Amino acid sequence: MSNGCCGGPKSTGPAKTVIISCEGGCIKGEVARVAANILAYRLQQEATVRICLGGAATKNVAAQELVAKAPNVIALEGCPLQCGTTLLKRKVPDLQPMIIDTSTLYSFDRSKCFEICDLPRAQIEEFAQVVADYANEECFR
Amino acid sequence: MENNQCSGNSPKNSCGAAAATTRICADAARRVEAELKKPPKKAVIACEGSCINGEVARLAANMLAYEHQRDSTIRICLGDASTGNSGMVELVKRAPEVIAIEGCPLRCGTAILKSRLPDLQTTIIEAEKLYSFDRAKFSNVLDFSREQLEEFAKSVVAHTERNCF
Repeated sequence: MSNGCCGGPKSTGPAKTVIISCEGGCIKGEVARVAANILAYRLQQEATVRICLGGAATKNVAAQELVAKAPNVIALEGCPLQCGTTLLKRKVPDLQPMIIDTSTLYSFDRSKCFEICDLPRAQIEEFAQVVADYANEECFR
Repeated sequence: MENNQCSGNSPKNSCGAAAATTRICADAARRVEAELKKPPKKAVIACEGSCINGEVARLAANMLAYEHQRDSTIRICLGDASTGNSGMVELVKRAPEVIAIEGCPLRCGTAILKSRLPDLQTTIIEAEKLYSFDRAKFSNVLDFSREQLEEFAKSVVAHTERNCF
């Protein structure tokens, strides 16, 4: 099992590309999060490891080591604040992730929709697939 | 590789040109501005962890704040509240109670928010104790159907409502 939360991701094989996302509480965070899951668990399951941002940014030393040793870190950020990267840099200051501002890859009426429940689940997953496909093409071709 | 700028092509998709440097999410700032005109609400955060525990905590937080208790709670963007300037942190500061739905014993939601608000006192809901599955076999959020994850989350919401409302 590779993507443990409490105990941290365990890997004895070659270092893998690390995937993080901002995990924000609005639509944009949800799209980034779902995209990160699609990328790590479906599209690039063998080449990547999905990191728990909370653990890596606080107390999970094993996750921090995985990040530090990773050949690449891909940060799917939901908005320009890039909170995933900002938080992780507190524990891994030399972090140089490939940042994808996912909010630039799809559009919806932001004056009307903000909460995750403001859009149908299928729409959020469609946006996430667009983001995951983009990241897959840009980072693994 | 995509650059770090928000390049939305229409006003509907605009994040604001200075967002990256000012650390203001325009969408969150609009939400905060509207919310500050209303009486304070209980703030809801979740650990947002990437495994099943985190997914259930996040789902529960969304159900609680966006559905079950939407008139008395406000869902906080943890990243913004702990690192941004969109005003989410102000919603936390004025909240009569901050409910932290934590996915695992690391309690990362609270830990991250305390990095900005050291005196923060959260009501911690240890979500993982409220449902069970074979943790030796499953960790990946895609190991379970959406419906199963929502069932877990419902038990967390029910517990939270009994204890906090």
